[in-house]
Amino acid sequence: MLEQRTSPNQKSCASTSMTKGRDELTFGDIGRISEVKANPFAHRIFELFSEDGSGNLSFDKFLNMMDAFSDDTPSEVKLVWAFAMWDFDGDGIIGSGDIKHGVDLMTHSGPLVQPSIHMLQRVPSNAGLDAEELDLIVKHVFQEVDPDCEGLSYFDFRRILTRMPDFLHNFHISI
Amino acid sequence: MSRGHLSKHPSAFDIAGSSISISPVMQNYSHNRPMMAQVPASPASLLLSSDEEDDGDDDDDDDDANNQHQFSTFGMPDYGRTANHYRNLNANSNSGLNRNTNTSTDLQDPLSMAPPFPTYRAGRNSNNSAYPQWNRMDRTRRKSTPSKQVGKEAIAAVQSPMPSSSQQEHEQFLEERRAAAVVHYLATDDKDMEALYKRRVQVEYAIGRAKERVAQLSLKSPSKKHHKKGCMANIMRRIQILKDNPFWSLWGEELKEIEGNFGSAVVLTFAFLRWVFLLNVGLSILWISAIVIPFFLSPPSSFQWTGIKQYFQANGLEKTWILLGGYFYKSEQTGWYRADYMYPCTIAAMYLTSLIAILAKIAKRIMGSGDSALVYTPDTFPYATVVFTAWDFRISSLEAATKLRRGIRMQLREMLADSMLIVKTPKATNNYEYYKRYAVLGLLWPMVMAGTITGVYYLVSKSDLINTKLKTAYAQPALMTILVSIIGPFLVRILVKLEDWKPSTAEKVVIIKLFFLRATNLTTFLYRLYVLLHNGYLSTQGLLSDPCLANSKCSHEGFLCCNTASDGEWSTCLRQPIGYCASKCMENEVGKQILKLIITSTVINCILDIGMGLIFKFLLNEEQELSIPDFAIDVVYIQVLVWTGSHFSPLASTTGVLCFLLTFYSKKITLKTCTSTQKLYSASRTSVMTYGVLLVALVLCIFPEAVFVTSQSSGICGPIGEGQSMYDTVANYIGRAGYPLSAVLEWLGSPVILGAIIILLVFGVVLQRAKLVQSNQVLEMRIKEHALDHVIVPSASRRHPHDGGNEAFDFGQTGR
Repeated sequence: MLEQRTSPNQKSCASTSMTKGRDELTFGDIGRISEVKANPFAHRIFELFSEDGSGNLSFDKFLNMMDAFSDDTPSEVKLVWAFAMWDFDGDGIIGSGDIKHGVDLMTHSGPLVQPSIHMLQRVPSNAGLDAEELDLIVKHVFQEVDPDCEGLSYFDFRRILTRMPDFLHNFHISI
Repeated sequence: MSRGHLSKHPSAFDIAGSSISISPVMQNYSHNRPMMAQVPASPASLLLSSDEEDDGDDDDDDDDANNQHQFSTFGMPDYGRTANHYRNLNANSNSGLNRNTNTSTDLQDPLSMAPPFPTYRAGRNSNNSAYPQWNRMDRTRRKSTPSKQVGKEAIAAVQSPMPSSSQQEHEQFLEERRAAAVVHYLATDDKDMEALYKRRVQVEYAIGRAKERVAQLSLKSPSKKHHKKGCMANIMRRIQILKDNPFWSLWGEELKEIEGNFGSAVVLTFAFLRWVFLLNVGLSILWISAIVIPFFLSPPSSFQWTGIKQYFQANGLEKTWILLGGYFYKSEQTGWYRADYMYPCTIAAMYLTSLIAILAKIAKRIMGSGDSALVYTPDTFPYATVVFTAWDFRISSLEAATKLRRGIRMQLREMLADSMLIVKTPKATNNYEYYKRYAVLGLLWPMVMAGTITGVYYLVSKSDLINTKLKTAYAQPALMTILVSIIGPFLVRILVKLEDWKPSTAEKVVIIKLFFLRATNLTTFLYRLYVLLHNGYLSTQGLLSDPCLANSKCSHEGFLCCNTASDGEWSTCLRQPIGYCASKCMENEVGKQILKLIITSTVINCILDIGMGLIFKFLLNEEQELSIPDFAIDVVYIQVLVWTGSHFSPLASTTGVLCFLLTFYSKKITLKTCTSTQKLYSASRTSVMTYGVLLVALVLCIFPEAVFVTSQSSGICGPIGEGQSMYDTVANYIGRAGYPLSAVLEWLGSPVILGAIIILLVFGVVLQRAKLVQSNQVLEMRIKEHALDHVIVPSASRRHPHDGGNEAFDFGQTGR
């Protein structure tokens, strides 16, 4: 499991939170592992699977998370969770703010994504995309997939992503 | 966590499935997006529009009763008016969230209509462990003031909108609750707490809906894990156990490491190499068991074994089991096994097996991970594709992640620049570039192609000469490798730079040109080999015999000068008069050339890769990127050589096995000096480039193979008699076999090609089925959604009676 692959230092960090009696992994502990740091959506994913938005995962929730990202999961389930992941503001549609934030996460040039409770805030970076570029990108995306500019509902999202061949292949995390 | 009911380790399905007991909840649809989620976000404005009133502590019971009642009935009150009311409330509010308000009554995803957290409703009472932090806050609040517990109830109540009593009462009730919540939350002075709370609500909303959708999916498709009974199922299970054997996931650890550091495109190419390696292992088992072992069981009388040293000098192998010529049985064979028909049968079996394997692999990729680049074009929505699928979750190293982020940034910037360029640039300035590009394309590229073709031609024609001049038997293949594998791609890249394409097109042009160059070189090579073979045949017919002096070379490649009747390994000089040229065993010559080419090509490529890597790392202190198209085309090139070489040497696939093994490890070592690529390589494009190109190469390979199989043999060596081709031999046998057998074999035999067509058709059917299944799923889901909405919202159908019946089928209304 993940614990075995981390260095002894990180392992002790992870075990301290466990010995506090809560039997959970907090994002603070796990966020130090480089595999987690490498993923800009990591914080969002941990938030989602922690079921209360705190980013703390018990073992069961951790398993749920791995299950959603594994290869054997049907593509429908992956699409559901991908939609939930992209819906940063939780309003049931992927709107321009969501896409802007997601693109920002993917293209920022800063060292590490700090989890923020003020979601939809720009990630600090030196050479990331400007606000105008982000706006243009969002505009193009909406021109392509949602001409009415209502935001992508789950069905829209699903319809589009099933036509993108790489999505299911890339949406995979394994230990 | 006080969550006792999760003591097992459930899957995502089960977690969501546990909420199925509350399934009537899913029928709580309204036509509009719920405004509840906006409630906590704009407490200030709500305060303006509603009175505050503190309700008592009997709210819990009230709500429970309401909820129970609501769950037991299916009939839903009219949401329309309530929804309108909420919409008005929020029209005044400034939502802090970036969202497009939707005031249309389109049918949307039903779960987006559901109020948030319906799955938690059953456990809504104070010990609900879904909200531990809320429980903690709740408990502290309860200790302080009884009225403060209204806070939690308010939120919870917000989730259960519809009472059984009248609308007015309910709305007022909710407003009061909201106001109380507002008061409570404004009372806390902590901006961060408010933001945190807002955040948590948003997240839980998203989670709740995702779980409902997953639950709905699991309702649709029953669990696939139930154990079927019956012997077919037993067999499938045993095959599955075999498949899980670690042997088939050879090098799994290495591939995982590569995946983490370099992303999916590189690891897919390595997985392709591993697959080709395993294919060659299978093929060499086929060849060894069908041809080589029977040879050892009863070797022909011409068998001579001069020792291991001869392997590397590639001489003295003429009469061994390694080359086709050694299978010189004449009429010695008794029994049913004859080398002369088994050999062509094994060739056919090899091609058929490879074809089936490739098609199966491609089909699995299409149906499995949705790798449907062969089916869908990825250019329909370029921006959306980059935004949603560019991130490779398989990456696990920080450096690769940084590179990928940079790559995405650059790709997006390039796309933006392109779209602006189309608008702004006038046509005039492009003329010079167009002329330059077409000049290069029209003049330089054909020159390069012609140059390499001529090079290959002469290298094959004069191979003896070159070898004696450079004093090693491997000189000619080494030169050929350098020309084809090194100089060729280098020139191609220079040319493409000169042609000045856009970066994204430039890559496609490079790949296409590399493929064409390699294909033409191989064609020339095989053509020259065919000419050699044919010369061998002609020489036994008495043609092409030029007079020669004692130690002079013959002008034709592969001929030797007969000074005595027993010159040469085979009985060539028995027929020719002394002092004339006669051919050597051409099958062996060709086989030797191909085998040497395979080995030399691999060794030189490996040394070059490692050498370049070391140079880059230690001398230049930069890091190079692994070029995926070169890698893929090299693998396909070697595999084509193995396939065509198998005609002349049963050990070609074994050589292939060793060479691919060497290639894998040397590439892995080279990777240590490489960094991850910055270009966005899509996984599906990589798999088209690898398996697709291999399939095309196999199909193209069948043509030269057909020519070889139907060319007449010289009869000096090898299993086929003089003047006959492999095809003739097999046809003779079929003709001579007894009546039922010959008819059946003829019926089977001629359409070996027909069999391939059938397989391709089956493949096409599989593809269609995959498409059909996908569109079926979408249709099902939509019809289900529409049907449910149709049932639940009688008001809508009352308003539009003529539309009500068509709603389920009127997709146009939803604007999709």
